[in-house]
Amino acid sequence: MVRAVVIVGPNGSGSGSGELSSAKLVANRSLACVEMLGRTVLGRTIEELLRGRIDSVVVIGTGPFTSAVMGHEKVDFFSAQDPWSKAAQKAASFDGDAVLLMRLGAYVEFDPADMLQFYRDQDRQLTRACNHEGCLDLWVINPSNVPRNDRLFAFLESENITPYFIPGYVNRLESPRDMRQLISDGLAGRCHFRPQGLEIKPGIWIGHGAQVERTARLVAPTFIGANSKISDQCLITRASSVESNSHIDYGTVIEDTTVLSNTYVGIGLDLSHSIVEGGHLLNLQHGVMLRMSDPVVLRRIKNSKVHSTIDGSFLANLDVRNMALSSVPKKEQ
Amino acid sequence: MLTSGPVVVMQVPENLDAGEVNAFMGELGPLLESNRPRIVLDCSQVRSIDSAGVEALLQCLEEALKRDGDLKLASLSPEAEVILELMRVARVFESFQTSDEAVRSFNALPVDAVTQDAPWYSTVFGDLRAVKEAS
Repeated sequence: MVRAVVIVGPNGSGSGSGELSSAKLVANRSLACVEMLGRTVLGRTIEELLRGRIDSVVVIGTGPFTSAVMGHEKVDFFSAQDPWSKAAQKAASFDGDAVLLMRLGAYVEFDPADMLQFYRDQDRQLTRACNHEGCLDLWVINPSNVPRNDRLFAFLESENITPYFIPGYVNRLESPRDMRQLISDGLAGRCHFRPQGLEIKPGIWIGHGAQVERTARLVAPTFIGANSKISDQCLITRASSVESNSHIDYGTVIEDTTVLSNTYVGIGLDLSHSIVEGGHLLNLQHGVMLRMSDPVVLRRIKNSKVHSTIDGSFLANLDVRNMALSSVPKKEQ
Repeated sequence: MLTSGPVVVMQVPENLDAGEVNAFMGELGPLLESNRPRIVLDCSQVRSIDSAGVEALLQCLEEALKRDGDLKLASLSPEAEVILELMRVARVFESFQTSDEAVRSFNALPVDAVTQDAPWYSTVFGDLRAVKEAS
């Protein structure tokens, strides 16, 4: 019986010292739980693990989880202040010869069964996945070797590892730009990150309950999430996605943009190269984060039934000075 | 407020929203009532503009154009640029990298250089009367 432990949170470098609050890590934690093309990276990863001969999955995070991935009989959720210590405790309690440990983080397409087989063939105590850009936070470890203290991350970072090369698609999701890239790649079919909905025309996906008015125009590839509304005269184009329960109002153009869940976008706007959530707008072209106080332009749609992220707003938690701008090319003067 | 000859350069407040619009318009209003108002709005400090702020800018432009003047934007902060693009008004305003450039643009073609009495086609076709007489 093979089990997996998935940590949704920061890497363990600050574990024990309490230094887990940098903006990059906060945003990184949130990205795995942000709905993209109708589903979170966490939900998709769990599904792939169970499909890849992993018998059960333990998910450990620092906050409450979205209901979208809960309720599966083979998945247990735990909330812990120090997820790495909790992960060490859980991994050490497993029987069997191997436990797969991963931190989200990155979106990684890999075959768990193949990685486990590689680990067994090498007969080493620790295997770590990597791709051409370097190591990933994905390991296979013998449960009996897991340190029973808060030194798990240091142990995993040790040099005594066998690298397992992942040839498939990897997106490290280190910045909002990576997020847009993943959505764009998913819509273009460059990876298995497929939109969750009905493909009504080639390259156009519509989620359950979405409403697109007759004179609205969708140009492929594009995704409209469940229960969203696209009003008359709107244009949605260039790999844009409108996630669930959002509303794009009359005549607005959405181009190369992701509108996250529960967001209202006002009348007659021109939204391009951006990520929008509630009243927050992150423009990737200019490297600017705006908080729009004007509800006529942008606002959060109150929906008590839906919680798209692990801890509320993704963009609200993002410190753009530390994170997004570092990955955005400076505008040419 | 800074002035550079007949062109007035004015700083736009950091937050041009419903709360600030009245004060902003109160300051700009008298300038717009002059003959051929030539105004440069320095937007380097702008961090946010809401729909009321955009409406105010459009209103100012309209008033300036009505009086045969113009209103130009300068030193747009990235935030201001994103908001104006978002609200589809970026193309309505002429904008410049610096206030100096905006001021110079007013002076590039002095208003008096164009003879107001001459017919509009005179520079293209010459004096039609002279042509008629010659024929």
